[in-house]
Amino acid sequence: MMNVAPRRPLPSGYVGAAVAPFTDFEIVVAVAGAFVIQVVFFVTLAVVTNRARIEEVREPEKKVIPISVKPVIDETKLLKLGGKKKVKYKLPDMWKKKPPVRRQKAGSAPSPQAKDDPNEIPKSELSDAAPPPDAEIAKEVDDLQPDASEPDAEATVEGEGAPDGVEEGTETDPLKARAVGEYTRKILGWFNARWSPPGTGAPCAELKSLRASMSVTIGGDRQVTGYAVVAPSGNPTFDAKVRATMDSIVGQQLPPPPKLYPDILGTTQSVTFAGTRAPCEESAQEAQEAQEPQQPQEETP
Amino acid sequence: MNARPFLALLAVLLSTTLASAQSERPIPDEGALGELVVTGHVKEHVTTLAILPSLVPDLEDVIVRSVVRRDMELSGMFDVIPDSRAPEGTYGFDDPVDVGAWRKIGAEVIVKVAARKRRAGKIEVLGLAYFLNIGKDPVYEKKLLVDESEVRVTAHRVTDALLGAITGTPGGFASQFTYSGKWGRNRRVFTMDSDGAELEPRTKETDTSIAPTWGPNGTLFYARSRDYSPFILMKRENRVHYRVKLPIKGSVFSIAFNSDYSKLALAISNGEGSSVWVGDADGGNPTKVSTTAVATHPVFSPSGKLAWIGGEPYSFGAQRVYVDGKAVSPPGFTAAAPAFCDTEDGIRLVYSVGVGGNREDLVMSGESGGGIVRLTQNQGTNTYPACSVDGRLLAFFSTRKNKDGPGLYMMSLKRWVTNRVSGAYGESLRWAPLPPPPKSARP
Repeated sequence: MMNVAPRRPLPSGYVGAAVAPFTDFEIVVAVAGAFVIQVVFFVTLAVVTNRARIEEVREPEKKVIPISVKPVIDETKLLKLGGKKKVKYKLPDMWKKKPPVRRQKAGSAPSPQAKDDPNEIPKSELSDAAPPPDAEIAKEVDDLQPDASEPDAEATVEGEGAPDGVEEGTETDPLKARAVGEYTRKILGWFNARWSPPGTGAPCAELKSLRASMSVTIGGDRQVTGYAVVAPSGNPTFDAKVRATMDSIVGQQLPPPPKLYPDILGTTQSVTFAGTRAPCEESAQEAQEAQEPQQPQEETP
Repeated sequence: MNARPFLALLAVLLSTTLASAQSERPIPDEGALGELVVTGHVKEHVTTLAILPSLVPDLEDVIVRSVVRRDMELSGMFDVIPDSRAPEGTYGFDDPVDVGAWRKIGAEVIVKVAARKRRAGKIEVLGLAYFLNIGKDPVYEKKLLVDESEVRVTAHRVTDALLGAITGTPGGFASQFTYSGKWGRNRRVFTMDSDGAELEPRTKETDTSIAPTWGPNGTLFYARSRDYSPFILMKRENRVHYRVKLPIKGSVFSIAFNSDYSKLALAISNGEGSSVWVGDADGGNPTKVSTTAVATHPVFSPSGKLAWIGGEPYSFGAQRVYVDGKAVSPPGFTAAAPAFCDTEDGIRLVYSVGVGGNREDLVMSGESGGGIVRLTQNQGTNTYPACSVDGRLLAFFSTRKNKDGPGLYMMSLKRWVTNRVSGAYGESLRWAPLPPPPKSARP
C-alpha cells in the first residue's frame, strides 16, 4: 500500500473527498495506455509511405518546315536621327576689379653692381632710389596719393574764394565746386571709356602729341545730339578715329548731374581728343630726341 | 525809274532782318564743366574720408557717431580712415577739429558728428564737414534739436546730408526695408532700418503674409492669407491693419506703387495663371496690362515704365522680364524679381536669373534691357534686389558662404564693393525712404 502524505485535519462535519482522487490501478492503466498510443503513432509513421508518382509531361517535338525567303529592298531612305541644335545660353562673367599696378618712374641710382665703365653710365634721369628690378616701369607716373602737405602760403587775392582756387575761377560755393569736379570726372570717364587713340598713321611721338577739338551738342534729356569739329588734328587717321568715336557717341545718354546741381550740364560741351595714350612704341631715336634738349645750330654772340 | 531808293530800302530791310536773326540765335550754354581732355585712360579716384572718433560715453553721442560711420562704410564710396589712425586730441562736442593733423594722415574730407542732451527728452545733434583743399573752416555745418527717440533716424538723415555736401547727391540711408520671411510654417512681413537695425515682425504669426511694399507716408501694404484662404490686399497704417477692397477677384501675389504713389500695380491670380493690373493708388479703376499666361512681380521705374515677370507657367526659362510689354531679359534664363535703380549713370534694371544648380545670380542692364552686366557670380544664390533712394546701393539676399555667411547684403554700384548688412533672409525685398521729418529736424 502506498504511503499517503499526512493531511491537515478535516474540519468537523466535512463530507467531501476524504479518499485519494485516483486509485493506483487507474494510474497504471493510464500510463500504459499513453505508452501504447505513442508506440502506435511512431510505428505508423515509419511504416506508411507515399508511393504516388507524378509523370513528367514532355512537349511534342517541333517539326522544321523549310520555306523560301525572297528579300525585298526598301528604296525609301531612312530618316537621320537628330534634333534641334541645343542653344546653350551663357551669362557674361561678373566684372572683377583688378588691383592697380603700381608703376615706378624710370630712373637711375648709384648701384654697387654698376660696371666701372663711363660708357655704361645710364642716360635716364637720376633719382633718389632705383625702382625694384621687378617693378613696372613707366615714363610718367600719376600721383596716387593726394598731396597731403599744408598749403604753403595764404591766398594772395582778397575776397571770396578758396586758397587753392585760381584767379580765373568763378565758383565761390565750395560744395558746388566739389560737385562740379566730381561730375566732370564722371563725364570725362564716360568719354575716356569710349575713346582709344590710333596706334598707327604717324610716328609714335607725333601720334601722342595729336589733339582734335570738338563741340558736342547735348539735348534736353542728356542725349548727345551732334558734334562739330572745331580744330582737327590734321592727321587723317587720327581725325577719322575721332569722327568714328563721335559718330558712335551720338544718340547715347550722358550720366545725370548730381541731384543738388541739375543745371551744371550745358547744351554744348567742349571735348578735346588727345593721342597721349596712343598704343605705340617710340623708337629709340624718337625717345632720345624727346629727351635731349634742342642744341643751338649756331653759337649766338 | 530810279531804282536807288528801292535798293537802299532793301539793303536796310535785309540788314535789319539779319541783325534780328543773329540776336535771336540761341547762345550755346557751355555749362560748368569746362573743356574735357579725353585721353582714353580711365582713372578712378576714391576720396579718403576721416570720421572723427567719439571719446564721450554718452549713449546719444555713441549712437549718432556709430550710425554715421557705419553708413559711410556701407556706402562704399570712400576710403574711411580707421579709428586706430586718428591723431591724438580731444573730440568733444565743442572741441575744434585739428585739420592739419588729419591732413597729415591723408584725409581729403573730414566729417565730425556729435550729440548731447539739451533739455528733457531733447537731443542736440551736430554735423560738420571739412574739405581739406578749401581750408580750415567747415563747408557744411548743421545743428538739430530732436526727440530722444529720433536720434538714430536723425543720424541717418545727417549722413544723407553729409553725402549731399560731399558728392552733390544726398544719400539714401534715411530709409527702411521690408520683406517677407519664414516664421514656422507661415511667412511674416518684417521691417528694418537701412543699416539692418530695428528688425521687427509686422504681421501675425498665424497668418501667411507675403509681398510687402511701402506705400505713401510709410504705410505698409502686403498680401495676407488666413487658413489657406486666397491672399487679400492689406494695409498697415499707424499700427492698425486694414483690408483694401479691390474690384477684381483673385489672390493677390504682388504689389507695387509708382514713384509718386499715384498708381498701384497688382499681380492677381486668374484661372490658370496670373495677370498684372494697374489702377489708382486705392486699387480703383484697374486695367489689365499683361498679356502672358503668367505675370507677376510688377515694379515701376523712376521714369514711369512698368516691369514684371511674364511667361508660361510650366516651362523652364520661359519666365522673362517684361518692360512695358516687351521681353527684355535674355532668353533661356528664368528671370525673377526685377527692380529699377536711379544710379549715377542713369536708370538701370536689375533682376535675378537662374544659373543652374538651383542658384540665381543678379544681372544689371539699361532701363530697356540693353547692355547686360553680371553683378554676382559663384557666391551662393543671390535674389530679390532692391535699390537705395539715391541709386548708389543695391541690397539683396544672398546665401554666400564667406566669413559673414548668408543674409542681406549691400553692393555699392559705384565701387562694386559688397558688405553684409544683416543676417536676415527672406524674399520680396523692398526699400523706400522714410516719411519726411518735420522742418526742425531736417539737416
